[in-house]
Amino acid sequence: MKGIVFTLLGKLVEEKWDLATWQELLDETQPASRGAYTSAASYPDQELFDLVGALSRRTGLTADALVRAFGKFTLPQLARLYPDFFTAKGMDAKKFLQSVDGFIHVEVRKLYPDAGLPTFQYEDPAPDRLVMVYRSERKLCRFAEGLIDGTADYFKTAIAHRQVQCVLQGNDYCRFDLAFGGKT
Amino acid sequence: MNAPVSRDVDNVLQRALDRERRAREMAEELLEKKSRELFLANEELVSRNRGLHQRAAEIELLHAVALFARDSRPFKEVMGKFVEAVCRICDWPVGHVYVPDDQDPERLISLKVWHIRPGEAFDLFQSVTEAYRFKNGEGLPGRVWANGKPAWIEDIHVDSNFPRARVARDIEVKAAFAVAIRREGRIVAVAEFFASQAYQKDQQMLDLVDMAATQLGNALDRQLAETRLAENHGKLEKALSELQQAQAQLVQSEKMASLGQLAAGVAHEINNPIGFIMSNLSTLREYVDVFRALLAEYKTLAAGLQGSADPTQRAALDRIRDICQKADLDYVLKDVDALLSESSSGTVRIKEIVQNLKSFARLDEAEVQEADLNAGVEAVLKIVANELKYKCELKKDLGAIPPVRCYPGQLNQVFLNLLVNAAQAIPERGTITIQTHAQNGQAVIRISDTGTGIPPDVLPRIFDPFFTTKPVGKGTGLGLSIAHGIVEKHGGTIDVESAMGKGTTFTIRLPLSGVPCDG
Repeated sequence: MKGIVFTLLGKLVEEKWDLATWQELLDETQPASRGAYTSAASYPDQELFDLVGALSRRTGLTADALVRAFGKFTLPQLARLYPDFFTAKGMDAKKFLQSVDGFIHVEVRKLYPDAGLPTFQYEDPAPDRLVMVYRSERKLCRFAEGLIDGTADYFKTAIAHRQVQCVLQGNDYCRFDLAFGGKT
Repeated sequence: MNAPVSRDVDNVLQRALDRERRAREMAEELLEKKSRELFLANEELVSRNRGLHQRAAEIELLHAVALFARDSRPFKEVMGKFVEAVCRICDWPVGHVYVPDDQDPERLISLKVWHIRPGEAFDLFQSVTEAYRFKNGEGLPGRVWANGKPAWIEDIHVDSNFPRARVARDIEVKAAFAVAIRREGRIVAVAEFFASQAYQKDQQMLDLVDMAATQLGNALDRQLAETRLAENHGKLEKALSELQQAQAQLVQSEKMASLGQLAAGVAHEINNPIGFIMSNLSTLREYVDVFRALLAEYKTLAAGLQGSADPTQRAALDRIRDICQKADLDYVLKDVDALLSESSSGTVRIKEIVQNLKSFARLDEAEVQEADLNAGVEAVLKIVANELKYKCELKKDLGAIPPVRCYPGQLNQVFLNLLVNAAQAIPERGTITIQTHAQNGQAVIRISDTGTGIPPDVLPRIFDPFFTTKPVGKGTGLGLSIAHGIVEKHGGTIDVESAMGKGTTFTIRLPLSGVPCDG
């Protein structure tokens, strides 16, 4: 897992809770990196799952809810770091989501050839609809849901979405049905 | 939330700071690693790029060399193109060529072939260079000349073996290199190049230019080989055509020789019977006169016996009358004269033919003497003037010809034959031109007519003995054969050009040195 995920998680914990909480999570999980995360380096996935687990126990929120909130928190951070993906001419929420697999991840791989990225396949049944099929070894579909939430916020567009199939329920992939509403 | 005890703010901040520091160090480490990678990648790219540039320059230079070496140009022009191409591709401002001196093969002199980058001037250097002559091993060109290897001088002002810098201290060049150009293994030129700054040795560039110089030498060799091949081919073709001509002449001579022998034999054989036939004919004429006189007397006697009573006499007279009537004796007596005189003139003609055959076969009647050919022509013209005057305008253009040792009588016969033929070729009116002059050690006699011309199929056979286009009895077919034989005996040639409807020209060329000794 790239370090940026950890630095963003730390930032989330610091903002929603405080620095001491992040310190306590690190103390509790004792990651090999000792929490000295830097965005371009890679770290074991387990460190993330341990930290999320510890946060869940401390806050009483489910890990699923935390991961989804983390996704929603992450999207504007990415928009700040990599504005080009968001501000291309005529860009909107649907086009942005459609560009993740064929464009954004392609660019990510150029910078980080070792990045373990999920894949998306798309179906486009109607102008205001979108089907995204998600496959990932990490099974972080909740994170993806959070990113969709964040996309809706960023583009100020209502997006109703639900998972009709999910790897967490034993399927090979997750299938998101999305419906786009008007500008919020 | 937990107890405030564990929330020692300083402690938390201190630890966060430690983490951030470690993360920063790690990030910097990563950055350095990435930078190193980038640096190495960049290095490789630069070197590859340089390699590509080198390759492109190589190809461009070799291509240029191939292009201008392809057409045969003068050596000086090729060398000019070469230094220009090297200067352009290597981006050096000055190129110049030295060659071994023709007068003094121990020295190199300037070929005065330069390439100077437009807008720059090296006047002092150029004048020093064009004046300087290098010994083997001396200076930059002498060194390359001596060992054949390319040479590089970083700065000629600090080089111990650059005499031109001693001659003029402030010449305008610094770095220099030179390569040898070889033809067939021998160094035929040294091309040298100069820059205004000092440059460290660029082995790749030196190798490149040396390779181009080798290519140029090879191309020049190839060209030379091709030229020689073409020359040899030309020589062979010429030799072949000469051989074919010689063969044709040989065949003609052989034919003449054998026919000559035959003719000589025939002439000899015919001469005797013709001799006694002529003499017999003359005797026969006398006998006929005797018979005629006798018959006249018999006729008188018969008239006297007319009316005789003797039956025996009468019967004899009847038989005589019968014979006279049957044979038409009056006509016989008249005709016998015509027969005899025709036979006589026939034998005279046979004698002439035999005479011609003899002069064709053995051209040995007269003595060799120095003669004026123009005088011969004039003499012949007098003889034929009568035959020519009604139908021909005669044009004479007789140039100076020194006396030639020859058989004048035989040559006169040649002129006569050609003039008579020319006159016969003119159907009604025309012009005969006879022209003489001396040229390239030869006397040239040209006889042209404006007659009917000789058909192309006939032309190759006109010198063959007994070949004639004239009606039977009009020509012997020996005239041109005899002419050919006489001219050949004089070591000369006789040629004919003819155009149908325009006329014919015979050209006789005789060596002024005269008849060959064995002739």
